[in-house]
Amino acid sequence: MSRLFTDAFSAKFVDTATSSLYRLVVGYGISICLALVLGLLAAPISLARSYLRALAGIVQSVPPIAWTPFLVLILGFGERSVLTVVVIAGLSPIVLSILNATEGVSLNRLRLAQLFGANRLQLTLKVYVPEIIPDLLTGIQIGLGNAWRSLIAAEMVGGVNRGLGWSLTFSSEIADMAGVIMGIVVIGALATLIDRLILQSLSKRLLKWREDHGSN
Amino acid sequence: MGVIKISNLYKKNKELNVLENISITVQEGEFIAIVGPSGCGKSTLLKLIAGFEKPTTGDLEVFGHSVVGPNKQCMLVFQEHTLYPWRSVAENIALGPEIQRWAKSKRAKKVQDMLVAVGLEDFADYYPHQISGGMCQRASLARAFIMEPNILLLDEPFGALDALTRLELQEQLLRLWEGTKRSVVLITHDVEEAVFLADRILVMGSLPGRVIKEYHVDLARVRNRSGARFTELKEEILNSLIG
Repeated sequence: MSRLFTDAFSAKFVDTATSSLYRLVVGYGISICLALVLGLLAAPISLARSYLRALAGIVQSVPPIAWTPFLVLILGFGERSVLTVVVIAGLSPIVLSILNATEGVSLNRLRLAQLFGANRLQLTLKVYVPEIIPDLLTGIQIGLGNAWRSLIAAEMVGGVNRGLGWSLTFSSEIADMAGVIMGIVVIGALATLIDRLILQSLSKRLLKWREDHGSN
Repeated sequence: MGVIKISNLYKKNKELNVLENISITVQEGEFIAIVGPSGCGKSTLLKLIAGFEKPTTGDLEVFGHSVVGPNKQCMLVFQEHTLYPWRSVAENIALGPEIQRWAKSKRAKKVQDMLVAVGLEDFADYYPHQISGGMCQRASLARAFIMEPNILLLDEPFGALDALTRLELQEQLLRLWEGTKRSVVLITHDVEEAVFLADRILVMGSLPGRVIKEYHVDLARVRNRSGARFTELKEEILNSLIG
């Protein structure tokens, strides 16, 4: 037990954890940007929406880790393959949340803005974006979970030599039970912390207007 | 000169005749009420005037111009409140001025004036879900009136309110309107509301939607709801709706 704590703060393990977090930030960051661009571009066009929805559905039904053999063949073992798995894993929930939210935008609220003379940009900023934000935040939360789980898995098989997933496999190979358990605990704790500290406070701020709705 | 001029208008939805041979002229400053059973196409008529839908055949002119798209001469107030839930009452009323890029100082002053006019000055910073349905509709009226539209289209604006609040809001609407003398087209189920507010009442029949009768209300405002002529008119219109 005591080894768990001393090890958790050892320089080597901190390095292991930060390299995973770094991959998450970069990979999932790309996911979010890509999903926003795709989602918002497709949002106003119903044909584009249905294509994107179908695509997201297909991507979602393949476990992200299943892409690794394919990615390793074209990108090689290492960083790039792992990051690509993370990007793929995070994408679908965000894209789907944007699409669902766009279809749920109140027609009358939209019409009203048009009568006030709103142009396309104003419609996007004053109606679509605020209408989408609650669903988008949910999508980002779910996507984060996906991205994190896939990242760990990809680190186990993707041929990198740092990161929590790699460390887990390594500990197992040298029959280090304490190392394995610590790895699992840290993986769980980090994702929970990110959700609590960053996403939930973000959603509190952005959804201030719903404060005393039943939800909060 | 008519502000709104509708002549021989037909509107079909697939095979269904929603509106048949509608001809209506609304004068400047005139308050028109359209009453009719559900499904008689009265809301469709409003959407046509606002420019959200196109007539199948026939002419529809606003200020002498054919309506081709969302019509900025018009302001709409809907039955369910369409306030933006993420904006406070004051921010909702400021929506039109914001889109039209009014100067900040003018915007703030006008919004404050409207808040006072509809009695919501103490609720400026509340969000829609924190205030009552009646207050939401008052804010919706304020949001429409702040733009000083030439034409006000009201789609059963008080239909979802309780009886008492409805009476209150009708008088509120009258006060807002009387200062300005804009043209109003009010859609309603409530015959008493129509007689209380309108200069002219059109009764519509359904399937296909058409105007079957027209009444002029020659009573001075504010009208006495229990006056002899008032109740007589109300009876007459109710009978024409049922018959």
